Amino acid sequence: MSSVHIQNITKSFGKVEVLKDVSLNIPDGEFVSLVGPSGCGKSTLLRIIAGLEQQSSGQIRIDDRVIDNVRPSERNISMVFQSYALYPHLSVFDNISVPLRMSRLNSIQRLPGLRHLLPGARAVEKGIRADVEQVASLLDMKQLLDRKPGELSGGQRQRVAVGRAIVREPHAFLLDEPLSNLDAKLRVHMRTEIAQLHRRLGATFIYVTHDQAEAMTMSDRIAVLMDGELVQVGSPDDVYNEPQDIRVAEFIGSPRINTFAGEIRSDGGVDLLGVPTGLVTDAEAGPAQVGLRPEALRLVPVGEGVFAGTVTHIENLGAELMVHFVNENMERPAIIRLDHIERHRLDVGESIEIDFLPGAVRLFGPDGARVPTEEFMEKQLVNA
Amino acid sequence: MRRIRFGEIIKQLVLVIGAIIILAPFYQMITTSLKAPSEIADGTLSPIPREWHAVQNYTEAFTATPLARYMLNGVIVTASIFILQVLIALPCAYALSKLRWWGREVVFGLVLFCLLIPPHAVAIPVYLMFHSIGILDSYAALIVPWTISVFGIFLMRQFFMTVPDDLVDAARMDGISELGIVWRVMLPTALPALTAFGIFSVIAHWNDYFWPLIVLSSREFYTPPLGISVFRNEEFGFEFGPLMAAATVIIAPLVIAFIVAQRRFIEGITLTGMK
Ligand SMILES: Nc1ncnc2c1ncn2[C@@H]1O[C@H](COP(=O)(O)OP(=O)(O)O)[C@@H](O)[C@H]1O
Ligand SMILES: [Mg+2]
Repeated sequence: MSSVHIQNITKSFGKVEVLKDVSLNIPDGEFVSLVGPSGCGKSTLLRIIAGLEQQSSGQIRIDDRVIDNVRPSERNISMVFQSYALYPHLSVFDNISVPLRMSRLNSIQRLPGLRHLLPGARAVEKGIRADVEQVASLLDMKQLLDRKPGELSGGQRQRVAVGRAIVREPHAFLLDEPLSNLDAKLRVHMRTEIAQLHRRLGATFIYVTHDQAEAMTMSDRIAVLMDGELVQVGSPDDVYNEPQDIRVAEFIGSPRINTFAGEIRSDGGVDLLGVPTGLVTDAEAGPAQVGLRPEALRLVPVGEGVFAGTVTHIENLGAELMVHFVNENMERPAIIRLDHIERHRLDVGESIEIDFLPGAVRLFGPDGARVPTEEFMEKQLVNA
Repeated sequence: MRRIRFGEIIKQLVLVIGAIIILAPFYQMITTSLKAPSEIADGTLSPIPREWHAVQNYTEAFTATPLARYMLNGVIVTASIFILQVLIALPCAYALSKLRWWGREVVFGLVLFCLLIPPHAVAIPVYLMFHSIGILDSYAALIVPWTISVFGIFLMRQFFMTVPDDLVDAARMDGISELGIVWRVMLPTALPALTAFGIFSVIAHWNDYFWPLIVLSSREFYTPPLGISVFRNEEFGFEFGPLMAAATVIIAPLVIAFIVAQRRFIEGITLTGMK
């Protein structure tokens, strides 16, 4: 097991710069997720780590070893592909044993039929069988070993792909959206299984996903990649609560963070939709964006709110309620998350008043970067 | 209900008529190979021989000419051609579909261009080249011109394009070399396409009359179609019985091979394991 160091990696396809100076150090045994919208360069970065793609500049190290010119199979890294990429003509057993056969048998012993005839090869083959069976029982798929990939369900194929990755005990695992071809229910189940597998193996996992929920639930750390740049790296709590960029704030969390037009006044005070928020900042005066998570908004009795709105839609999720509302100053509806106790009070079209805690406000400058704020004074009430 | 039945009858009728038109010459060939010369000569075209002459005709076919030798030549030539075509076409198709290199599109364009060149058009230049290096009238003369099959390269390339890149990358991660990927990963997944190509190639070269006729002068290298022609030259006159017997013998391996391969053809190998 090993640490992986990604240093100043850039990658261009022709004129298009897909990765821009990406650096990330992943300590031994960490589960790190690379998240970002489709096309932001996640797979490209993973393929560069695997050696399937050559970076335009920068360096990849495993522990202290620079692996830039090392062939994929000699980097001692395993990869699980989004499409599983199982050999369709081989049984599950043979699929899992391919990496072992390639490394433990020489090219003569690998010739068709000979691995069962040559005495040396037979001994190696026995060892391979033992290892494959151990992996199969770890992943609970011993009964599948004789089947062909075509005879397996999506979840089973995914398991075989994982089995093929772990059987050679690599330094690190690369997983490229391994759950995206599964149905929603199985996906949630497999999240737990992969997280457990990580704990059991204690290996370094680099997990690529465009699904922020997967990243939030499984990772030690999340690295958010946007347009080829790493915008933020941190623990799930960190990334959720202290987003350093409005794109991170909008990407992480479901439903999406509410963003409102704001302003930094010349005296340093921060306004939200023209209402003082009770926060001050040292940043330059001018327009800004204010982010507030749905759970940071509160429904309050008439007369006590900071701003008012009209309910446009209610999503009932059972345990909680997502209330969409607008007012004339907002570009698009915002969402409040309520727990089920409050639900009876609301109907579409109803007027509501909303309050928030100044501490929950996340302020972003015109360029999208986070602007630090401090609490300063009491906020104004709507009708004060 | 009635209309469906009626449509069904028409459909079957058309198929039956089509089958009769296509199969009639074969049937004629087989019955002729079983008839006595007198019966063939009177031109009655009776569907069943009046007098069975099968043993004489088939014995004549095998003894008057070294038919078995011609068949063996046919097997040697078609098998060598197909094996060499596969050895060349698969790596080429792999390079054209799964490797990124400068000029790949241009080379593929050339492959497409070569598809347009009829083999007969280059027959004379090839003949002259073979003459100057002195390999006319040999197995090599029969085999070498066909070893690079642009059609094979094109067909396999199109098939390889449908094989997911991830599968190739997975093989690289597992430590399989590039050539290893061609033979251990691409070849097994491409078996249906390869079978189709094999049928095409074997039929074309087993039945080829034109090229062997041009390059061969010694009978020892004759392939089956040339062998048949021996029956209708000056020495033998027109002996339709043995001629048709020889023709039947020559066609039989193809028919049997097709029936065997047909199952494979249709079964194919499901590619569902990749998705
Ligand atoms: N081989 C390639 N040639 C050209 N462009 C590519 C290649 N691979 C990826 N790209 C481009 O790089 C960008 C990032 O791709 P990718 O890393 O697959 O994104 P992600 O996995 O985050 O969805 C995309 O715009 C894609 O079109
Ligand atoms: Mg991707």
